[in-house]
Amino acid sequence: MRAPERAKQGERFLLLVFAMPTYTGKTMELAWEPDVSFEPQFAPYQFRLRLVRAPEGVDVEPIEIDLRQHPKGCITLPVWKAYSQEEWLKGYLFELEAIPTTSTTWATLQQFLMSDWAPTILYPRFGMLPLLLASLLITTLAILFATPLGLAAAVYLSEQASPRVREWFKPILEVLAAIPTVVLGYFGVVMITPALQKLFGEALQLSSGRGLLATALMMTVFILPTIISLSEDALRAVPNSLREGAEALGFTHAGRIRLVILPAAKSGLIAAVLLAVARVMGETMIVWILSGGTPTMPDFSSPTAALGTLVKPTRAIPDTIAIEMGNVELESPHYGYPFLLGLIIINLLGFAYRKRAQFQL
Amino acid sequence: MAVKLAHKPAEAGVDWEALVARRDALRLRKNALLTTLLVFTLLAVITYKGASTISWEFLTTPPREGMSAGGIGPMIRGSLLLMLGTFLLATPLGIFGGVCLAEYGDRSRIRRFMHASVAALAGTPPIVYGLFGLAIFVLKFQFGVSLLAGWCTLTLFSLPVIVLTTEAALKTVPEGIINGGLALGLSRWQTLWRLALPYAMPGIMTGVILSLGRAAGEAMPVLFTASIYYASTFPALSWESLRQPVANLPYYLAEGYRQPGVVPEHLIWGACLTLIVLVLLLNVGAIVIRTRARRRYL
Repeated sequence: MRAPERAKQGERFLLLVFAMPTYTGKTMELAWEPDVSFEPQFAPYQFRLRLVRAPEGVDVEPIEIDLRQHPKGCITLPVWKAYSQEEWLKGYLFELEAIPTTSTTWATLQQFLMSDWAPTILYPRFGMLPLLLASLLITTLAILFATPLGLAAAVYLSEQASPRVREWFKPILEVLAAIPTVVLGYFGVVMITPALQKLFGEALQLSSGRGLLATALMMTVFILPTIISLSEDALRAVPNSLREGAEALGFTHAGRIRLVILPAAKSGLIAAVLLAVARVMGETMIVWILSGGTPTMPDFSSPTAALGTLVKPTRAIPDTIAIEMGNVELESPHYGYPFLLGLIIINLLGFAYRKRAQFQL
Repeated sequence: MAVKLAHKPAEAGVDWEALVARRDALRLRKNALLTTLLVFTLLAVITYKGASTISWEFLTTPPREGMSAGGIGPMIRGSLLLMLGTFLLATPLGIFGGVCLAEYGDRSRIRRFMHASVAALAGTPPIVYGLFGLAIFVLKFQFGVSLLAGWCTLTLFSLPVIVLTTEAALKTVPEGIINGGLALGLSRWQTLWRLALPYAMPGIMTGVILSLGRAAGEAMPVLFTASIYYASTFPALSWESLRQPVANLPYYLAEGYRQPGVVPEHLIWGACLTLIVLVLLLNVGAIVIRTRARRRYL
């Protein structure tokens, strides 16, 4: 079966299909290359075949074939004819009309959300769901780890620490914020992955500790200074009259913080966390070094699977760009995808920033 | 969450209120201490791993024997070259942009739109700048993977921060100074050039240095636009070398990770420490400028 070089959206085209009578003589086998439906130009399509013209003397009912339903690449059709010996050996050529049943845009989208990212194989697949999910999981975990730590540190700095401690703490935060992410990544390789390897290595047959959890832990370190200094600013912006009022009403110290100051600073705190979300999503070097680089679908069906998801190698969006942009062929279908992924990151960030703007006031 | 008010049955000799407050304070302080500890662990580990490698020879000689020995001289020089060009290109542009945003078109819609755009650009991840630089400078303008393309990309990368800090610094100039200048008959341009900018300069320079430090440590913008891994000679600064790629520290580390086993571990840690020291020196510079400026005006 030969297909045209490039089929446009909705375009019908003719295919020649080799057909062979079966031994019984009552049916005929139609065969095509099984992965014709996965050839690059067909990949986004789901298309039907319709028999247009059969060879002379062969009486075939018009039939529609959905290629996806026949993964083996052959179908048996009923025919009504007695074959001569010669015909039996030669076989027939059928003409089929291929009708794309899905629009390219929709099909590309569908494929894009599939769970299979394999851009460099013969018939590449670009399902970016595992990358997206890994990115989101890393962000969620990092925020879950960093927010309580950072908020508590910020509360301490703004409510309890003496001015001297505060003066001394700010440069420390700046140092932490200034450490290049490459170095943070290497630090994770020394400190975090061996520990994870030691903890789960035997149970789960890990080759290294690289994965979601290691990345998320290092991301926590990466965003802590952002969260602390921004939320401290938000807490310091709470007017003193509120603090004094709370004290006059007889709140304990903890009650004052929980019931008065934190709610008053809420929008600023949320803005701080959202900025951290945006920074984690875009951070590349840490993910690149610590994620392990294998696209895998997260699996939370059982506790073991969930644990495996956390500590086994994965791959997120930013490091995919970094890994693949270096060796992508120009003008190949693959070429556009790193840019598309970049666009997706920008959009995710834009979402975080818009939410942030709502809270920033 | 259950929050108790302070009315507890008073027991003789025990100040419950103070005890509870102290417990909460300790809990909170623990987190701040944890962060501090983290920073020191980080610095200690990197220093411990890298210090034994650092020597004059390591810092000044090119790599030898297929990068398995020798130093990282060309990488340091390449990083410095990249930063020099970025500094020269980004500072005037950034200050110009900041002045435009702060001084002109006060509350117009365009200004707000510009401000939002610059803020969004400041939050755009470095990898996106790398992609942009690759598509525009390297491929479209046909600079190739070169020092020039690296300069342009890093300039774009550090511009938004410089613009925003310039704008913020100009906003802190007291009205009195500006009005005084205007009252003395200075033109608006002179007020800006002679009074506002010098007053805001420490703030601006802090922003410039901080964004340079960020650019120096970031591998992603130069990953596809300016970098070469294997460098056995020092990059010179000439017209020809503008079109050639340079080795630089972040890329050396990134590639050292990507091709495990080529560069021995102790060299990588040495390079890590060098990069940290370089970036921290810049930061310390910024802090010093800030403190001295504060002393001058207050």
